[in-house]
Amino acid sequence: MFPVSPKICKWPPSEVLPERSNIIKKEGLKDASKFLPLLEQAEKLFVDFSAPTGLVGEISADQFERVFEGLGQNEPQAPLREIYPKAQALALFGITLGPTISSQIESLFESDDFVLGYLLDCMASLACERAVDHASHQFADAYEGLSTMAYSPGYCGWHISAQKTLFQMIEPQTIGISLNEDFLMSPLKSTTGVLVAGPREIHGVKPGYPFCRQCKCRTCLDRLTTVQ
Amino acid sequence: MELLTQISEALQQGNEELVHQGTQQAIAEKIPPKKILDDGLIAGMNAIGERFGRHEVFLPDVLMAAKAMVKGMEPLKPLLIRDDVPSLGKVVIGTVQGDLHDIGKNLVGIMLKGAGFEVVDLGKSVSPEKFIDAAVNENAEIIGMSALLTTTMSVMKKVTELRKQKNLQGKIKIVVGGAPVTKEFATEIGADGYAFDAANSVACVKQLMGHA
Ligand code: B12
Ligand code: SF4
Repeated sequence: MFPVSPKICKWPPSEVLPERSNIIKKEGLKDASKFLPLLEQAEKLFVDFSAPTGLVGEISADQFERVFEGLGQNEPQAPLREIYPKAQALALFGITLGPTISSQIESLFESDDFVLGYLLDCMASLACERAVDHASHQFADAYEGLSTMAYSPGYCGWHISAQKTLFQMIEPQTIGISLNEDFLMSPLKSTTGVLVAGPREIHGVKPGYPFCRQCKCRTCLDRLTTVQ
Repeated sequence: MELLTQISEALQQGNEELVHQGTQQAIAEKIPPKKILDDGLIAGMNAIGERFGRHEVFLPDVLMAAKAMVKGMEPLKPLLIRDDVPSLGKVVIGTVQGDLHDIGKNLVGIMLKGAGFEVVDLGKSVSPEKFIDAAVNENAEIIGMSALLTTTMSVMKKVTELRKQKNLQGKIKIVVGGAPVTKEFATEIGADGYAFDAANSVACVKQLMGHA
């Protein structure tokens, strides 16, 4: 398998910093004023310690088929199998916030500063998703009129072992992401997947598959609203 | 309001300073350390844990309370050690081999400590042998394991098997949790308990220890 030549993108941390209101909503910070100083502190730490970097490489449907099938462990009804052949363009991505933000979170927990550590962790997780949105926007810009959506191994019947073929193809190691035998990436705040550009109606995954019974995140419906 | 109730209330509001002051005052008033712990600090943590279970408050509120508890424990801990006050039980906890995600495990540890358990944190990427050896050496009643991915959660089964091989089922209970872990999976691998989140993990461990 020949690696594609992906493009490296770097974003200033402030660009992927999640909206404060998103964290307040997601974490149910009813008395937001109580948490404001901590949120401000977490934002400062985020800006100082994260290094959002992405790798995006366009690939053909044939190349993607090999990535998608991975080690042959996908669910028979994995919805992406029906979606990607209808796409007009596909790009693999790997995105990371770098190792320092995770060490920072860890040391906050170690020093019993766990409220701040927890808020910083939530912030970083949301920032990863925001970075994916940025990559998706940039990709969508090249394909005006098409809708772009990100899909990731480990979600919705696409087995996580496809990380192996994805790594072979796009080599996220070049931006410092490594993959272990259990398909866990280091740094922790990293994410991979495929950007699928095509007509809006090809997108979207709805619950109802046999594998949905095990799913706790049910992000399919939320994600539909993020189609670029 | 009675002093210990005040400590419990301040703790639920996450007011570190008040909890610290209140605990010091209670010590000065010669209230037995175990009573300060049980009726002040742990009572506050239990109350906020229950409110979390009823979705009246969210995790950051619970963590604020736990942080206040740490502050209250500062003057109290040496006295509890002096009086040889036993904990509710001992739990060794860790993230399974191959896995580095430890926030969930940390939160469970914080909540268990807040509820009065002694927690030995084995850290991340802990091998099955290390879980069992640590539980035996520490004389722990419970092993708690956490995982982020379906691929790493398979290590949990190795721990339940190793426990069986070593004939330790009657002595050590196993609880599992983490984003991809389900109750069905816990049952399937022979674990004794599963909890969806940190607050439920306290109820689960209490039940296994017969404190429910
Ligand atoms: C936020 C998130 C991310 C973030 C941050 C990840 C991180 N670890 O920091 C980002 C965007 C980076 C990410 C990336 C990925 N993610 Co993700 N992610 C999540 C999400 C939404 C929440 C995880 C989280 O941090 N929760 C907050 C913490 C505090 O909760 P927790 O760890 O679950 O712990 C709580 C409970 O589980 C319980 N608990 C935990 N441990 C223990 C232990 C005991 C003993 C007990 C009793 C209880 C208990 O109590 C804790 C506190 O309440 C979950 C889905 C979900 N809703 O859970 C998916 C999820 C974990 N991710 C998933 C996947 C697939 C991935 C990726 C592989 C996707 C990709 N291809 O990029 C990568 C992998 C990252 C890596 N480093 O390898 C899957 C894993 C399933 C699988 N197939 O293996 C999940 C489950 C989503 C799904 N498909 O259902 N992810
Ligand atoms: S419920 Fe939604 S997010 Fe979860 S597996 Fe099913 S389709 Fe995917």
